[in-house]
Amino acid sequence: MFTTIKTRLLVLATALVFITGLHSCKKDNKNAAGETENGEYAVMYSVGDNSYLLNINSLTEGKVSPVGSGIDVSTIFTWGENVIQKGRHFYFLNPTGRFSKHLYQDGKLTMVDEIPFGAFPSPYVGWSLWLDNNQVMFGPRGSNLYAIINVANMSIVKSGEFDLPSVPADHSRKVYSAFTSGNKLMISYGIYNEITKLTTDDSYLASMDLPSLGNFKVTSKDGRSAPAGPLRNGYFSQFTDNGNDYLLTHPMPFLGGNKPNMPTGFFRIKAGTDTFDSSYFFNISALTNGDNQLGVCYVGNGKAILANAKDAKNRVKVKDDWWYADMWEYLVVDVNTQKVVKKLDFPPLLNSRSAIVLDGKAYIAVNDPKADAIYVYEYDPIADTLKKGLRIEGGSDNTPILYKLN
Amino acid sequence: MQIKKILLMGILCASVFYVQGQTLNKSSIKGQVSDDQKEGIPTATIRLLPINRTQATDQKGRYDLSGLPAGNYTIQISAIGFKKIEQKISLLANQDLRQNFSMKEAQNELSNVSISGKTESRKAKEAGFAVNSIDLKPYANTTNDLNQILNRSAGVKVREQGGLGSDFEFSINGLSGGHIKFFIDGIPMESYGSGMTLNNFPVNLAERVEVYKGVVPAYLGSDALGGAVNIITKKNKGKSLDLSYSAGSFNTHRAGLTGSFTDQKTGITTNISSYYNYSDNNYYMYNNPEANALVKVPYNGKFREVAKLRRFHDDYESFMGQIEAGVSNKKWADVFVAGITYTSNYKQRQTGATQEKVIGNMTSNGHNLIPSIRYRKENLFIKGLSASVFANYSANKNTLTDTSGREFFWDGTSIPRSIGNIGSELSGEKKSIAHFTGHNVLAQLNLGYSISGNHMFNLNNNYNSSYRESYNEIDPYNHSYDKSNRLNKNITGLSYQQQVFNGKMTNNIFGKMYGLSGETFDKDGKATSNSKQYYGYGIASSYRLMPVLGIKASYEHAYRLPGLVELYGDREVVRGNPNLKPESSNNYNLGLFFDKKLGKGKIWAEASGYYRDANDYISTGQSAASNDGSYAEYSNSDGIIIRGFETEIRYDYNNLFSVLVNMTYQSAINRQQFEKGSVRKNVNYLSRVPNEPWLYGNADFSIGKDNLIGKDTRVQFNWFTQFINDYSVTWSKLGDKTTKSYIPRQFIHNATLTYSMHKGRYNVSLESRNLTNVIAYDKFKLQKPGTSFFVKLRYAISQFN
Repeated sequence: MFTTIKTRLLVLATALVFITGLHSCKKDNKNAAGETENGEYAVMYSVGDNSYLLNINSLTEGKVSPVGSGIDVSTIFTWGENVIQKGRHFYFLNPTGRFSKHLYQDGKLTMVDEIPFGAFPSPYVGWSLWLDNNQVMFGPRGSNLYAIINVANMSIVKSGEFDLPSVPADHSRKVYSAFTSGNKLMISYGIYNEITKLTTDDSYLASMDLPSLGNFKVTSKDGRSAPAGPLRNGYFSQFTDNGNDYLLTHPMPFLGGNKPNMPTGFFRIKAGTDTFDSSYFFNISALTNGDNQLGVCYVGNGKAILANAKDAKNRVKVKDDWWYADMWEYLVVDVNTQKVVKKLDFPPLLNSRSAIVLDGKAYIAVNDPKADAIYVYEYDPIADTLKKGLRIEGGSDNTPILYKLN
Repeated sequence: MQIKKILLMGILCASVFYVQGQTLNKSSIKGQVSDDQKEGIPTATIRLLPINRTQATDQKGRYDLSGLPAGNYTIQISAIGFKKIEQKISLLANQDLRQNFSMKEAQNELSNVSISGKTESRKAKEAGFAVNSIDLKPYANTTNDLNQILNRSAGVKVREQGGLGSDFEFSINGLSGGHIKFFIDGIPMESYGSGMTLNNFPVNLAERVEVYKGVVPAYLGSDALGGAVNIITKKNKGKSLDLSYSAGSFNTHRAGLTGSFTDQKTGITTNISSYYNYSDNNYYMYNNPEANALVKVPYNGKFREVAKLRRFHDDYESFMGQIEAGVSNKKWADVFVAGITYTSNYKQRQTGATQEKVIGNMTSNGHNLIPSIRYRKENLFIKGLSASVFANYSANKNTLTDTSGREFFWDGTSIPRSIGNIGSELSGEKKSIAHFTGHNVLAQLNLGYSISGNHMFNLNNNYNSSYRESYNEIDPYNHSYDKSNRLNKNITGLSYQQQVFNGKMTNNIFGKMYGLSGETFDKDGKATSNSKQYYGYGIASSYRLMPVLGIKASYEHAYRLPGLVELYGDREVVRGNPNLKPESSNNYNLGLFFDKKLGKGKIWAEASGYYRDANDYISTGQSAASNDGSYAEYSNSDGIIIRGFETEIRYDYNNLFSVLVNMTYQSAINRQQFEKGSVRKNVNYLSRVPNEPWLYGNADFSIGKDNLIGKDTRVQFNWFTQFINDYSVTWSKLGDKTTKSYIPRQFIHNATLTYSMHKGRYNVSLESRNLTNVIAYDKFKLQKPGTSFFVKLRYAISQFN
């Protein structure tokens, strides 16, 4: 009954399909060359819609590739900005209402613990800081809420809202950054009008005692630039030089607070004070033809590296251009001389702003659209040298985020 | 061209002879052609030899050959799917002969389950399109909705997120979502509002479903990039009634009703159609580390895993009622019907994007009211010209309530968010009771012109205008919630179908014109408008190589126009991108079909390959770069290339058993060659797109016997197994494979036992789905129901039983 040639052909065709299917299922298991499992560093970056965590032995040579290696963190760290790292531990505020602790060791990422976390309505972390070795404090993007978690025993130490009486009626507070200064906790924030739905053009600074968070004092209200601090967790914005604290403002559209008429610059909080120094504002936009900048890192001696969105006013047509227009450049600025010291010698770059600093040298992930891969460059501000190092293959979308693990 | 000229000449000559002969010949033959159920067969061909007069029967199967000279004739009657009738007739002078014919279905000796109703199916199939034409009669006693039936079909994958009424993604040959358009009797389903979907439409209400893959006929006027589904309902079927009710696991109740009758006095025909669905959907959620889907509940400030817990906030209820009344076979109209449809639905939401996010309070509900008119006339003004017009207006109201400031867990417990229950469950930030009101106007005109049955022209025009506005009840004066906008689509399709080489070859050539215009209104009521136009085209051909074997090939350059929100944004979470291009695709199909009778059995097989070259995909992406969490913007990306192969083999034996096996393989590969904004090669260039099933198949076995327990009864047993191979949720070649998430390989078994009495008038069915309680997933971390049982009672009187 089934012996016609045509039937046989059909069966054969079906079998062929199966074989082709199984063949294409084979996975490519080769590892990137020269990689051991417990490197000093790690990198997390996205390839299309997925993200990978890879081990790095050296930032100055070799290569890493996600092909067949690395941890696929796409379904673990579902929101990159919610990752907080310390040493070999990665902490993650899962937008589904959990806070988890993961250990990255021997090429494996193991969930150590996970607790229910319902303290924030918004699932996006806007800022974070370590109060000590075990206590991490963080808050949602553009909100007055905070939480403190003891990661040693994974318990919520405290959660709530910063001082409410200091917020005018029909307004709310949007905290942009938090840092410690001496034995005080400082927060910089903006005030949002719930009626007009607008954030005011002032930058506020407040101080409070640690660990009680009591003795809340609004110390400054400053209209020279806003918002003070970034809106997103993991963006560099604050450092201390010579005892003075410096805080970068983020008026940049889309990636920042969208205050197109305000300049990007540094506020200073002089050593021993808790207010914005009214005699100091390092206006970087004024030196860069009105451009806005994002923070990259602090390299010592008053020098910081910033990523400049050159001529974004004309280059950005659609939202994606903030990432994919080749308009970015690295600038070295000096907060003491208030000068742009140097533009690092790169062609126009795609958005990249991640760096780690080791022994005064900056290791920057550089996304040159004309290069064959993303590379880590070593910038030595003393010797004023720029060296091409680790090759990061496959990176597509966001800047690779570099981590120092030890 | 030559052929057309000869034909045209022939037609002219025939007309001249016809006019001349009329004065001399006064005899006539008239009557009705019907099937063995006494139901008229429309468009049967009557041929009178030797004078070679032909005529097609009307909607009721009637014919009328007048002006005939006296003499001896041979009358031939043919209709697709029926055995040809040939009879000798003697006609006297001035005689008005009445002659009715009753046609027998072709292969009538075979199982009524497998063959009957295939007539229409085959017609569509052989027109060259890659189409699955699924006769729903064999499923009428099951508790399935259309999704579940179509999911058994080669090349089709329906990925459901849960139980009855859950969200689903329908894909045809690897293209899904907005790429696929749905129709009811040729009317775009979206014009009926959101109340009617493939997952609540019970199988009893429809007669058959056509799934067009990649290449969509011009008469389905829509911007379907990847294919279309057309549901053909039971309408104008004389006197019929089909009434069913089923109940089963998870407190599921479903009822369906369809019927039509004609009042003899007034000649008014009334069609009614209605369904009701309800389910608690409180099936068990299982802790399943294999699929990386854990069920965790809080315990002393931490989490602990629990083996299984019932869903607790997933009720679903939907209702549809439709009544149509009208007249048929009038001088001015073959059919003129006015109708009204009402749909309502209520749905609780249980999970967020994955089951890790448990939702315990959020609900949505909607109401749609849709008046409509339908008009059809054959031989309008001139012979062979037919026209049909459809118009409807739908008024929609939908409400989405998300006001709980609590965090829920799988055991049903919840904790308040730290400061006074702030925020909402799904969107996080703000509580909302969002009201969406809108309306949709659809007007469709279809003109067909047929020359000698072998050449057909069809012109279709679809005008669709939709308007939507919204406000948040909790924050009514906040205009940032306004999302008022209007979108008009005007799609015109023109096709020419020819049959040549004695009907062995069919060609269908078509072109489509897509027009798009829209308006958005800002908070001050100021309008911004935009309009665009695009052209698509295609061809579908089939050729019968030998009586048992045929080949078909089709191609379309198709478009999917950007939607309202994609173009203009919604001012809340999506920002408009007026630079969006429509998605376009070049779709190719090539297939072989084979059917042969083998003794008392019949084998039928089809194998086809397909290729989709889809460009300018519109997507928001999920990465931090393309979606920053505060709002998204749609943009065009490079799209994908899909190569696939599907095959289906079926064997029926003598009304006793039938076996069907199909298998689909598809490889959708990423066509983005370079990283966005750079000259760097994309590491995933030509890699298989993740999170899409790429190998799946179905096996269906039925066995049944008539008169086993009493006269006019039938016992029928059906076993159906579905197979989906495992697939990676993310790019399979990236990352250490031990760290990757997979949708596990699944074999899901279902069985139905039906007992029918009184020639199928009374039916009782017992059905079990997912018999072996496989923990099933179509989407990552969204578990589907385990084993369930249903009983269904059905009463049916019509020609269908």
